[in-house]
Amino acid sequence: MSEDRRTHDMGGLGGNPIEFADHDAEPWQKMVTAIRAALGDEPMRLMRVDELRRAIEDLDEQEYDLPYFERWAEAMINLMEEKDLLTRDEVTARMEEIRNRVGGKA
Amino acid sequence: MADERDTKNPEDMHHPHVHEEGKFLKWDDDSDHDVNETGHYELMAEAIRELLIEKEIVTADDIRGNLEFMDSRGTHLGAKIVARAWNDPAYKQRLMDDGTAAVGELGIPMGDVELVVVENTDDAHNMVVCTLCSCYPRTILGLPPDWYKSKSYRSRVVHEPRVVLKEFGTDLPDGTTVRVHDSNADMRYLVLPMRPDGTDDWSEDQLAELVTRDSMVGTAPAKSPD
Amino acid sequence: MTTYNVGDKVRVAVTHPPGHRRVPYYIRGKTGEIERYCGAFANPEELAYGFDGRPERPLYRVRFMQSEIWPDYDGPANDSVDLEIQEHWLSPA
Repeated sequence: MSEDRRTHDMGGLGGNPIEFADHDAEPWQKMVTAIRAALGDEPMRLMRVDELRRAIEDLDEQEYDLPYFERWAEAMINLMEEKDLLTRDEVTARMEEIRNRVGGKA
Repeated sequence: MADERDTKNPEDMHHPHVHEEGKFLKWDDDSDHDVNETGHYELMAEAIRELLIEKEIVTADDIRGNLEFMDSRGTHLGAKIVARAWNDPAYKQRLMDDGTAAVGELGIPMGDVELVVVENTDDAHNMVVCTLCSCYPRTILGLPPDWYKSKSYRSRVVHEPRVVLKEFGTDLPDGTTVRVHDSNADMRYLVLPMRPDGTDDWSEDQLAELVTRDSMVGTAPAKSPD
Repeated sequence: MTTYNVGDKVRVAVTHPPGHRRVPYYIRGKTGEIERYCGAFANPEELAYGFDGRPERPLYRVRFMQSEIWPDYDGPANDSVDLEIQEHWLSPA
């Protein structure tokens, strides 16, 4: 495989038989999709789908191996940092806070 | 609209059921839950959501509106389009000439993209893929199935479509050409499957029940009447 | 009045510039035929970096024969792949 071919550009690479097990998108996956759409809405257009595609393509090999929506989420954070909307550290801190907040009876 | 997060009372911030969209944290009662139940990405999505709303980058309404729109999309919309085309030759012609305008007649928006409808005939069978990511006519069919987004489908369909079709259980008559459409830019594709035999005087509603998602992506024909 | 018309033979450029491109690797350097003019669209190669992608660039659906793309393609001669290629990636073949 040529170095010129990037990881996401996979037409013609071959692969395994199709797996048909399908799952309805989980609520968090729909949420990530809705957040991207809200960011992309007029008039602000803070995150176009083209930018998200680019951010996903720019993930490193390991991250690109993540499942579909996980890739989205990681790429979105990178993109939001790029645009000074928020930082990964803020997200991580908030995740911890939420975990503590909902972790059990107060 | 005032968001519940605006409250200054810290006690008000500790009820998971207060978050409407936060129901996706999987519980909306006060029972004891193991923190480990909450997956990493569930926490991440909620964290992003909260931060963006607090920073007034988006509103809860913006997000809710997009969720509701997404939930309203699905196979039923595509089936309606196909059934109309089967039933009404003039509509079918408009659909083939300008897919975006024709689905617009049914109140279906295409947003920033354009719709191209590709028709299956005795001579040609169409299949849709997006090798670069997973572009799909989402404003019609909703979210794509996992197999459509899989590395296997994305890499193999352009190269060995007939092998992939067999894996879907689809056998084509000899002499049928296979046309693959790689949805790599601003067009989105809907396959117009062949109308099954034995449906001559069926209503549109009845016809729509034969139209499956897979038949509109091009991996299978529409269902036959039993 | 577009640069290419339906039926024109065109070749996709062989070049692998870094950045966001919507021309898949497998089709670069291949020759196909214009199936239709799609219209002009803001350039995703620039939209991807937060720019407005204007002026809009002409986009064509181009039909390629499978046997042209893959030396080992073992299906019928008429089997094809259609892709949307921006005008600036095409030259007359």
